[in-house]
Amino acid sequence: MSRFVPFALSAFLCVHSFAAVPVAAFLDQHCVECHDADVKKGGLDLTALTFDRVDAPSLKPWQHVFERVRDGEMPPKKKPQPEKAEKDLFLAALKEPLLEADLADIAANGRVRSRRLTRVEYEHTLHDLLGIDIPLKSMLPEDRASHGFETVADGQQLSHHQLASYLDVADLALSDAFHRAVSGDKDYQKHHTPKQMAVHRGGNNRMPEHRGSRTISWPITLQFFGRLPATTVPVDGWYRMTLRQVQAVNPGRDGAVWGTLRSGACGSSAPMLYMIGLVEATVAPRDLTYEAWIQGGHMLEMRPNDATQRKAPTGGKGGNVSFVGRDLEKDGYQGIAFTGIDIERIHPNAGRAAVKSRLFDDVDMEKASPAELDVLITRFAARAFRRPATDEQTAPYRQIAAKNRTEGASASEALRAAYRAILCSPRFLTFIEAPGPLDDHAIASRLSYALWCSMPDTDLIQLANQKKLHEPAVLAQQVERLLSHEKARRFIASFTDQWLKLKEIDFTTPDTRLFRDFDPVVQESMLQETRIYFTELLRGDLSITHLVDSDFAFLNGRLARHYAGSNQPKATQAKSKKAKAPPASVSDQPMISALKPGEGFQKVSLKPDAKRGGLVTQGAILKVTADGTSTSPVVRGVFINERILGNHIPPPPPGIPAIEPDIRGATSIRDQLDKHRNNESCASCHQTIDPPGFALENYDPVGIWRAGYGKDGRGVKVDPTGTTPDGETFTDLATWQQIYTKRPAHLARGFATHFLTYATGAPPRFSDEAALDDIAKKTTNLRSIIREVVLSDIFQTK
Amino acid sequence: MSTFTFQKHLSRRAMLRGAGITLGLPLLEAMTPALAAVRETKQAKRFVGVSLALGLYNPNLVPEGSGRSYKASRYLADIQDLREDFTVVSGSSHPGVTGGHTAEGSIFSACPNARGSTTRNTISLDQLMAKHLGHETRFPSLILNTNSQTSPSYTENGSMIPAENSAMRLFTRLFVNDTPAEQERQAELIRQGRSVMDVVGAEAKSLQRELGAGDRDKLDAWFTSVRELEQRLAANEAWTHKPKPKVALKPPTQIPRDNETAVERIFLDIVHMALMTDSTRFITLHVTGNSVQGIEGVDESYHTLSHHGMDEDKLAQLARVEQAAINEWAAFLRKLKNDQLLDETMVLLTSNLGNASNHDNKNMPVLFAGGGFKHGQHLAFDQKDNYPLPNLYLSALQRLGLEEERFATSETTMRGLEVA
Repeated sequence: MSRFVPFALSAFLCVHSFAAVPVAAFLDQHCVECHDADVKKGGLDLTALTFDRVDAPSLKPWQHVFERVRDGEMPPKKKPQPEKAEKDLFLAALKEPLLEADLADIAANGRVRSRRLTRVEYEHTLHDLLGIDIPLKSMLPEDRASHGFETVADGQQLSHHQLASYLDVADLALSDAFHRAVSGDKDYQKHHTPKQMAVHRGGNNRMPEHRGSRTISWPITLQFFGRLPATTVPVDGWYRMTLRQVQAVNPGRDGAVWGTLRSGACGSSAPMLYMIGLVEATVAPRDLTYEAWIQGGHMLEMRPNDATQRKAPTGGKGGNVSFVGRDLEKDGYQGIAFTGIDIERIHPNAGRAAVKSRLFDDVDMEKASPAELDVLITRFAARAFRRPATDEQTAPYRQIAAKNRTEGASASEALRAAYRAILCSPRFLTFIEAPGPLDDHAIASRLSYALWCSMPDTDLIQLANQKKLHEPAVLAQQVERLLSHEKARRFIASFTDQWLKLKEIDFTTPDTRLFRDFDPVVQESMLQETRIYFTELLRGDLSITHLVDSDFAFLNGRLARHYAGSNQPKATQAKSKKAKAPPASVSDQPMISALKPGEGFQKVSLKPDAKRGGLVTQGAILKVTADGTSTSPVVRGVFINERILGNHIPPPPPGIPAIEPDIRGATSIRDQLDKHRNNESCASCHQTIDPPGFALENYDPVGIWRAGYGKDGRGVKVDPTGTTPDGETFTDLATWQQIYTKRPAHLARGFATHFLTYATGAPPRFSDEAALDDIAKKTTNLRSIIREVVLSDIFQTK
Repeated sequence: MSTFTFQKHLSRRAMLRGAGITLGLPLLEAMTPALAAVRETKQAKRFVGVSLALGLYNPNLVPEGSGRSYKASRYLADIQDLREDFTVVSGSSHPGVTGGHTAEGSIFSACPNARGSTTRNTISLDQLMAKHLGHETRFPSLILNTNSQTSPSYTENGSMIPAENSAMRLFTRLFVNDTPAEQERQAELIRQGRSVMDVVGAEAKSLQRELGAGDRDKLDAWFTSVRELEQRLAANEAWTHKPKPKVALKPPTQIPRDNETAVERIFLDIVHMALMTDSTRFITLHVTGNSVQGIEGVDESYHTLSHHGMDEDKLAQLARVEQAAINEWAAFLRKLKNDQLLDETMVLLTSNLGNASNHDNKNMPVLFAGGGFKHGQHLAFDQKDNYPLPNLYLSALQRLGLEEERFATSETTMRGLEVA
């Protein structure tokens, strides 16, 4: 029996059988004046909506109506407001059928519809399954984010193009694994001396200087300067590279010279350079070791890469450099010296024996019987499908092997054909979850993909086999184990890439004329800062308020210097051309405690007037929320609301043009926005969107603090004041932070929402609200929130 | 000692990846040059859609006056030699499409989107054409992007087709023959792939019994994908041993990294050859790169310039970039015209953005050439109350002889666009 039948407003206003009379009355009184077919404000026509409890999509708009009224956003402030009792009655009457319908839909269909592995998960899974380490994800189509995350099933697509790439990538991965297992790994080990590296092999000379027993690279901006043709590696692979006795020449104020180690073809037909790592050269010489995937035929390129360094002339003709007849060290230029490079091929994931055992167990492939192949295929299928595989399920794969055998293929070839098919199966590529509570194996998969981006390990599978994993104590223990495991780094990278949009750090290039101090070292440091900070919150189970503010930060010398360089008229900063930078440690910067040169990222305490603290003042966040030239309080406001504060911001209604930015005159973006906000229908959202954006206006697109707009902050003064949607005023970011650090439950709920969305593959539903409230009541510490989400029924139900 | 052959596999495989290229059933006449194959017909045969990710600045594009007597706008002044070969359309857009950059997916599908929601896209114009008419060529369609994998080409089930973004790889796929041994290896892989698809299809079917009704949509996507891939593999197998056409075009060796419009030219040169050799008849090229500092007088990135904020210096630089993009498109038209291909080839230049500076999707830039239509005119529609652009797409479909009555939100065929 359905009390709500599909209805139009005109119908339900007079239909007495409609139990929710308060709903109809309230809508009539407060809503339809604007939201009817004629006015259709914000594109919403309530009279055209239906309410069909068995049709989930028809309920979506009603859930929004519920939320907007509940949160006091509607009716708009300027309109007559409903009495509290009237509003409560309306909400209760609307909530009950919405909740019931939502729960019924989840029971029948689940929250999540057939989620597929993302390409990041696919790569990690094949690495864990086969023991290989070759990059695979770039060969699959990019995943598109929905509700902020690529894991969300709703946004995932499948086409024959996608399937075709699964066929190809499976072949590639298996080809590598079988080759290693059958033929073994080839060693590669080389030491390059400075003398060997100085041999000119043709083309323009853009190699570093060879001086005595050392190689020295200088701040020369010529493209590919610093390339080392001798270091060209023969084949694609992972390599460990050790730069010997790295030493700073003319170190700067932070006691170091900053540079980058990159790889690439270093020729104009293939100009792309791949970051391997930062080089922090110190006065005391030391070995620096890096590990990276390098393409065959690519070489290393190392050079000082700090935009604040004085640039050295090339000294050569045309596109060549020359060091003949000059002494750059004496001339005061910063440089990075080293005494050679060791390069060694490595297999960071697993050695040959492990690869072999994952493919063949201990079966001798020369003599493998059909029965032995069957056993291997069954075993592989169970691992790939992340649950025991029935005879019926493995039969087609065993048949593929048998057929290949009869057609003359070797046992190993036949096995490989069967494995290839298994890797294209929907049982491998998607999560098999039946409606209702998840079985233990489905829980194992969800948990493992949530915290490791990959398949469950044997411990998890064993617990699932014993049907113990759904026990809260066991599950909580596993959360701890997984988070403490090295593989949790994959979660940190993948989650922050999406949640905080770190993968978009490259999306815009800061205008070099406006932001002269930005360079590749700063950008890479920004990424690392945010990842390390998040790792610390996770490790220490720190309060969620650290998203908004903190009294510590993780900085390296370069980033500390970047943050300290406020974008102000630089009267005193014009350095004399010849003088060496005065030696001084970073500790004399007013904002932070002392940093030691050479130690990379270090935890520092922030002084109260540091103008830094929390995620929100980190360069990576400030950069991904700006374009290359300017900031927008709207863009930042939406980001902070959605990602940090956990407030959902509805999309702008159709037909409303965005602000036409005008960077000519003296008007600030704020003045332009004020006009927009004065429009009542815009104001209802912008009163929520803009305030955090205003508070962050003091930070420019590359994360430097500024008092005014324009070049060197000489333009209009920044106005960082504002009022939160619930009426608290703030004068700048610090006071804004004070407001929100007092709201840990609110922040915790927001974070739980993001993690839940990421981990289950679906955003919270209407009926999940209560459970999320519960989680935020239980804990407001980051690691504990993750645990509580996993322990919730939502996580353990399809 | 065994030799280590992994690297060879990697580059080899990278070349063979399916991105951007679909394979069709071979027919004998498809192997003959395009000119011979199409001589007798009066319909259009081909469609090339070029889309710009960052729009065109309307005040420089839209001419004064309408109809045949329009006065060339600043951008069109450079290409007046082609005046009779194209139509410029203003005041039109896709109804219900909003969301600024995110409307990219609707450029050729015209699918109304609700920004931020997960409404599913619908089939794009080029794919609908290829679905009906793409089976005669080696590649039913080509989906290209100058820079990234993003494409405005969508399959019937609303899935984006990843674009080919390497001009070198594209050239190889179109025109460079594999060695006989490699051809044999490919054929074997394809045969295996077909038996894998048999199993995958059966697996999806058995999952239907295990999963809930809510997963049915997703499983349908599996069925469709398996079926379509089987067809592609079958076609692919037949093509494997047929020689690719030889062309008088050198493979690209160097892709400029500071001039997006030069990259556009390199792609269009290959597209020209692909049409000449009848390797395919339906192509989209999405121009998305951000580097334009190699163009004289330009020293900022494309995206930055598109957010000009009415700044005069930025507008001046933007005009140089956009003029170059239009001129490359025009140069492509001239080549088709020289080869007498233009009358049978519809060529569109458009963008999801009518105003990139404020991310507006109304008033899309539209230049439409060839295909045997009467051109040389400015179809000026209402800038405030836009004319539905899907009407043009319906005209294009019908011009190919397809008896479609509707495409996306089309109402009728394009008003004012007549067959010559």
